[in-house]
Amino acid sequence: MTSDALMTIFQGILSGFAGLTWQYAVMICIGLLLLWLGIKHEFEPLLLVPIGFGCILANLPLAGMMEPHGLLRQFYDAGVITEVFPCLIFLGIGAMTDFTPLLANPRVFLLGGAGQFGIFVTLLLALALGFDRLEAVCVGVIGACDGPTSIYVTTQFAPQLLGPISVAAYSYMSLVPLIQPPLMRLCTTKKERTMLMAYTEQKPISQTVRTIFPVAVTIITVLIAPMGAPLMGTLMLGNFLRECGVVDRLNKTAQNEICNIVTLLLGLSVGATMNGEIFLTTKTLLIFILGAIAISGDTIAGVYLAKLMNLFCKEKINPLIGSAGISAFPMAARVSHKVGQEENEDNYLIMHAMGVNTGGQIGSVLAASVMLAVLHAMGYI
Amino acid sequence: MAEKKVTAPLPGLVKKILANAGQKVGAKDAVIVIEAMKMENKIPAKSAGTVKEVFISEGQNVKAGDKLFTIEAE
Repeated sequence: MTSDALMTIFQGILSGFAGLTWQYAVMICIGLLLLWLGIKHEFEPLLLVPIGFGCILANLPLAGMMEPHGLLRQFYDAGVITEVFPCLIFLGIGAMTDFTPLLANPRVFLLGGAGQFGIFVTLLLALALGFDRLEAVCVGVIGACDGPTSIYVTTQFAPQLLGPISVAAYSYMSLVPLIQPPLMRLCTTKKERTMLMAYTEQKPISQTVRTIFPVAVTIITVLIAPMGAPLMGTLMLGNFLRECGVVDRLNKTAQNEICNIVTLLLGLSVGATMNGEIFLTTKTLLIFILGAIAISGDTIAGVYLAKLMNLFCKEKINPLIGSAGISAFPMAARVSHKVGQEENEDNYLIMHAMGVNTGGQIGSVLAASVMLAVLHAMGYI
Repeated sequence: MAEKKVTAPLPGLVKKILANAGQKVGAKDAVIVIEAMKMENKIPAKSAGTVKEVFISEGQNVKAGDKLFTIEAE
């Protein structure tokens, strides 16, 4: 073998290293960071592990995983572009969600609405910072604090921002237990936080009501905001499978197999969108800052609406459950419960907070759908 | 010697019974774990003493206000 041939072989073997630009290198490090956060700190490991690995795979030069016909591109085109993945995730979430605490105390649905306040604040801020209209909408939706909703809206209107927006949405969801408690303490007094909420007056919810609920919600909300039909439809279909009582196998499949498979593929595809040239820009930084504002706004609005309701209602609400109005199901409800217990160990807010949290789940889909309906009416989409 | 009754603060499933009748407990010791919404809630004895009687068993569903156990306070 001549030395020339040896050189060619070496060049062939080393070409991957030669193609490793600084952007690729930084993105691989970000991928490793996501893996570390998922594994070491258990921040949403089910999401961060596939996202982190997808990010690393997509940023290895010459591997072509995200090129046309690349493996990750196939997953992305089949499930993310078509919006099939976020909707299937919703089917699973619907099947996992027990709306009984919301049905037992329907007035807390208002708090689930307040939890969407951050979306609109962030939308205005993003516009002021120079994002174009559709991009601003997608950034605002981070405030829905719901991964699939953010992915669904962003894929439709600003697919180029899918990487930063979905990673921001998922990172903030996992940071909910860190972001919310200080804000909740800031906005409430000790007396409000230690307020007990009883369970005794709650009447049991019949199976009939639980079965009718998802159907009624679907019909009413889709009539209000037709463009949200794929998300609301799958969420409520999942819940209907759970509550109707005759398709337990489908219910279990939606909760486990479908949800797990799609979480893996969605995570990988989202990770694969983390392309260095798009991700490593000041825009991404702005998106992360705006996302933090969105979630803080949601939290504060929820807590204050609860305080406002206390001015009028005879039965008082502990304002700590207001913060569960952001979607981030079920972490947000657990955060309310934990902060409540730290203040007063006789305080068991979990079921009340779950009512607010499931209300927030519906609220975030509804808010996104209404926003789409308004944009549609204004002729932007 | 006063007997104190502890009731369920929230509805849920009795996941574990950590202290049985006759066992000595401190005020902060958890006697029962109730699972609600996939979250485990430890129900403390509230007063130091001896568990007198436990009225529920593991795997049972309880409503808020159901009698859980009594403590003979020291």
